[in-house]
Amino acid sequence: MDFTVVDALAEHREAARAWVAEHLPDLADEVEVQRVTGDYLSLPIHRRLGALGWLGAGWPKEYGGSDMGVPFANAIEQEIRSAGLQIAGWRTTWFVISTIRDIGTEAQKREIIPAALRGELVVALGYTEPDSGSDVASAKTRAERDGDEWVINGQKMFTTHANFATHVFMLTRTNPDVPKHKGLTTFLVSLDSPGIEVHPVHTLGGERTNATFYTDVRTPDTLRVGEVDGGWAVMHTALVYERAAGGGASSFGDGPSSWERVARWAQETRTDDGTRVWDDATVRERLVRVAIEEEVTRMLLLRSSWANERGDMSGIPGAAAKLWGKVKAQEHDHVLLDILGTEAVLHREAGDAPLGAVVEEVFRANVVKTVYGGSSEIMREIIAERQLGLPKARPAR
Amino acid sequence: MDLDLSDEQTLLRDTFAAFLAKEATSERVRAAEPLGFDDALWGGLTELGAITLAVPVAQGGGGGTYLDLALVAQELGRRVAPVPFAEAAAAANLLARVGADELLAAVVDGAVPTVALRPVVERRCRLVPAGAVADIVVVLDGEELIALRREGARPHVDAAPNFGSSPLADVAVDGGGFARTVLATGAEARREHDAAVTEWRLLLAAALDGVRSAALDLTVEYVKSRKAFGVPIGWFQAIQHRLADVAVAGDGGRLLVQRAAWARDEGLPEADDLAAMAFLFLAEVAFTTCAEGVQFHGGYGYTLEYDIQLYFRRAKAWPLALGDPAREYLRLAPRLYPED
Repeated sequence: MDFTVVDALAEHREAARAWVAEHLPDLADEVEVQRVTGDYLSLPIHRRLGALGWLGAGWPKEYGGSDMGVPFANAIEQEIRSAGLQIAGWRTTWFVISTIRDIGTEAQKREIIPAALRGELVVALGYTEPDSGSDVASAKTRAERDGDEWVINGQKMFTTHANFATHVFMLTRTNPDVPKHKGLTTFLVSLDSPGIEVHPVHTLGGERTNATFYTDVRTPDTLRVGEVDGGWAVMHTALVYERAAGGGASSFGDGPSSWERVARWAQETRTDDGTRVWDDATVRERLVRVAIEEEVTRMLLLRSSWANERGDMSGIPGAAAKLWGKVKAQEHDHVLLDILGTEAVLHREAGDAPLGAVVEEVFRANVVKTVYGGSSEIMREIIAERQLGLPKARPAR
Repeated sequence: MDLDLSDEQTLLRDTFAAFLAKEATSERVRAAEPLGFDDALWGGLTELGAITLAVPVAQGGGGGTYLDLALVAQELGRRVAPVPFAEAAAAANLLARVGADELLAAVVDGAVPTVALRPVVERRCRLVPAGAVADIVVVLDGEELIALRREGARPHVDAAPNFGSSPLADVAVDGGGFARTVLATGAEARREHDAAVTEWRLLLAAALDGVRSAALDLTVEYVKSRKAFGVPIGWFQAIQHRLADVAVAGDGGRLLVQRAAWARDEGLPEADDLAAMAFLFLAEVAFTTCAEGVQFHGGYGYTLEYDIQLYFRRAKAWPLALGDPAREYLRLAPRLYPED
């Protein structure tokens, strides 16, 4: 056994920092814009990242790939993330173009991927519907063939980024007369198409998402991804990319964790009775528990990346890391807010929120993390069935 | 990063697993109660060199690693084997470090060593792990680290009756019946004792990892076979999801304890803290896993007939040898969150 974790980006970090300072001078301003709008992609920065070759790092030349090295690009991403900029709209685009690279037509690869790598084409995901989330295969939105086109009618929920994206990647029902997994087809649909309405949905975490409505929306057959009625296989590929992007166990270059910052705050802050917060044994005990459980999260994430690199397709290490990590993140936010006391509730706008309100902001944003990308309940199902060998708990249908 | 055991480590683990499948059966564990010590099993472990596995070869040991010791502790924990492994191996390593070769030779020949985790109060140590059966007791007595050597047959004193079926007993520091050797004094005495207690934390964490993994296996088998409302109870999500939770926590715990052992082998500065973190985490996970196991065994979980109770009692009892875990959390606080 060897638990050595190498900081693969160390040699690139300084250059990445300089690159970001040179090319993204507006980074902090865009972070503040995102906080207010809840749109988790900055289009001005995104287009620049496309023009500078960051989006194309690691992609084949014939599909618009750039010369930028992947480790250098990863180091840049870490700098961008550390500054607080969200790039969730690039993530969803990346899932889709990765899927197209694997199973799209040659024409799709030559048109869609380069446009995405230039930062011009941004894709929102249209899987979830008002009546189907975890049970994604029960989607009801209909697509019916009309010559070289398809006509789409229905509704999608949590179509995050649809208010600024160029396309939506839709899971539709093309055959209602067969078992649910066998009648699905996926399409890329231009969000400029007539018949699409985008309604905002605001969230606890401040992120903006959308409900999207489709009335006789037409999309050409050339934008169908995968086979007709073969959408479930496409979803498998797309979901593998989504889970794989679930976050690595980087422990380098990320700055102090929220629990370390709260501990430092407790050491420097006095309560109403004049004692230091840190002098309260219950505060120290709680913070040690958080540190231990977060160390366990890190171990499970490391195991997950290690298993991924070895081609483990069981899904168990990823499910374990997601289940434990996200449940504990929420529990820990709750504990950290308690320790910060009355002032913990203050928003950034209050001006004197402890630690700049970062704990309460993360607390609100983390609410959804036990749901999206596979809910904790689905993760428990995976562990129970695949690791413990327990029988399938829900009726097959 | 490599989470696979080496071929040698796999062989070591399988050797002990096979040995214990024969020599630490449920019947043997039960027969050794309430004392919690099986002399024949101890003899077998001595022959395999388990206790002195990490003692240098030149001193009669196996020259192995902490990870090797942790693997053996896990297997012993899986069987709730009635032998005091964590305290004995920690004591043996201490005797090796201070060069107490004569005492160490006795251990190689089958003497039971232990270390008193708690300080001397009113000239005795309360409830020393393996205190009833230990032939050699290492005690930090003020400025002196001493070894008390007992002669004669085990057990040397009656064990204090306890729900963990552990051979706990008070050890008087003065009084007759043993020879006293000073192993170290002053700062060295404290340092060596601290190191032994840390090794005990590490190996107990490994043993608890074994306890919780076997308790999980027992429970999974039970819920697959036990039927209610016409189906195996393992079909119900109420049970599946709670077992998934303890399985995932247990996987994390195993990684933590293995990393703590590896860090100690590598001599990393965080090794001591990792041992304490693994100890605290496994103490919680082992108890939670066993408590869920007892619950899912239904009324049978409350009877002495099913083995899950053997695990439940030890999962709670073993870590308490070091006192209230809250004190351990507080001890770690300034170490994990140093002030400038």
